[in-house]
Amino acid sequence: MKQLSPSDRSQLAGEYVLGTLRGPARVRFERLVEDDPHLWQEVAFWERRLGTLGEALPDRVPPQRVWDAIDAELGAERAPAPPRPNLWQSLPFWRGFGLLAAGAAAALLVVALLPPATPDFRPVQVATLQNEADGSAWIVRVAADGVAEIAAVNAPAAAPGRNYELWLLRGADQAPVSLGLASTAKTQRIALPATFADGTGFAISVEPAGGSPTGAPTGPVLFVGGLVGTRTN
Amino acid sequence: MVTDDPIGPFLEAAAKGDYGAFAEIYRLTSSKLFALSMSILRRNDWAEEALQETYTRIWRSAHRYDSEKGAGMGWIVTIARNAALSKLMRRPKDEFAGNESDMLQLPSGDPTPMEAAMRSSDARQLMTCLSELDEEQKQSILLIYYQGLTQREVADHLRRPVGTVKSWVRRGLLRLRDCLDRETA
Repeated sequence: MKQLSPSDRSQLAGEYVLGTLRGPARVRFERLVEDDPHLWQEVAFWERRLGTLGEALPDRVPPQRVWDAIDAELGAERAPAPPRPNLWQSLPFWRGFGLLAAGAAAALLVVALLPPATPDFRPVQVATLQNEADGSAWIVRVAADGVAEIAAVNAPAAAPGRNYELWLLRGADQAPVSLGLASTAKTQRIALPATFADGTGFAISVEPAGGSPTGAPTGPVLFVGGLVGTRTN
Repeated sequence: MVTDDPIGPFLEAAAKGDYGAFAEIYRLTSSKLFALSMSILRRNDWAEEALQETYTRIWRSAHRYDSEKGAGMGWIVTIARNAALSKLMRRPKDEFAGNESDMLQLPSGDPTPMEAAMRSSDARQLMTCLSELDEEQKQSILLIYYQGLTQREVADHLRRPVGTVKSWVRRGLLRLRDCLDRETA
C-alpha cells in the first residue's frame, strides 16, 4: 500500500465511489481505507464531487407512500422501548457482561497502559471493553457533551475482509445500537446518538467489511465493557 | 472546509436523534434521490424500495457522517446510489429494463438538465471539468454513474473492447481530478 502514488490513490478512490471497483478488489480497498486517512480523504473527495452529479438530474417527487413506509419503519424504533422478547435475551452474548466484575482487576492494568485522551477531550465516563481470552481491549471515553473517543489497546487489526463494529449496549431487553466501525489504527471520535441516554456499556463485534448488514451484531462479540463514571447531563 | 453544505447540519442533528431534522432531510433531498434511483433502476417499484432503504440507512447511520470529510449531500447521494446498485445486482439479468434510447438520456453537457446542476459551486466545477474530458471518457463515466452499468455493459453498449472502456474511465477520473484541483485552487 505504501507504494501507492497520489494519482493511484485518487484513481482507486474514484473507481470505488463510481462503483467500477468490484468484488475482491473492492473488499481490499475498503480494508486499505480503514487504516489510511489519506485514502479516506480521497474517497470523501470523490463522494462529494461525484455526488453533485445527482444534483444534475431533474427532480422527481416520490409518492407519499414512500415517506409513510419510512416513517412507519423508523417510528417503531423511536417508540418508547417496547418489550423485545427476541433473540437478544436468549443469546449467550450477555454472559460476557456478567464476567465484567471478574475482569475488573485486569481492567485496572489496561487502564494504566492507556494512551492519553486527546488534550482537549474531557471524559466523564469510561468503559474498558475487555477481551477475556487474550487481555486485549478497547477504551471508550465519553465527554459530557455526548462525544466519545474510542481507542484500541493491543487489539489486533480485524482479519482481512472484516471490520470491527462498535455497539451501544442498553438494558438486557433492548437491542444494541450500532455506533459505526471501529479502527485499531487510530483514536476515533464519534457523536453518540440520543439513545446513549439509556446506555449501560459498549461491545465490539467482528462483522463483514463495511459493517453488519442487518443492523444487529452478526459476528462474534469479542469485547464487552460497562460504563464507569458519572453522567453530568 | 465545506462551505456549501445545506444538508450537513441536519445530518448532525439527526445523528443525535432529532427526527424532525431527518424529516427535513427527506423533504430537501428525496426528489433528487428518487430521480437518481429511477435513473439506475428504471422501475418505479424498485426505485421506491431503494429510496425507502436509503432513508432508513441515513437515519440509522447518520452518526457515521463526518462533516470534516465532505458535504452531506455527497454522503447521502452515495448511500442512495449504493442502495440502488444493490437492488440492481440482486435482480435477474433478463429483467434488465433498459433500451438504447433510455440509456442515452444523460444529463451530460446539455444545458437543460445542467440548469439544475448550477445550484452548487461543487456541481458547477464538476460540470466544467466533465466538459473538458474526451467524449468517450465522459460518456463512460456518466453511463456508469447514472445507469449503474458495469464497464463490461458500457463496452457492449458502445461496442468497444472492455479494456478500452476501463482505460477511458481511469484516464477520465485522473483528468477530472486534475481539473477539479485547478478549479478549486
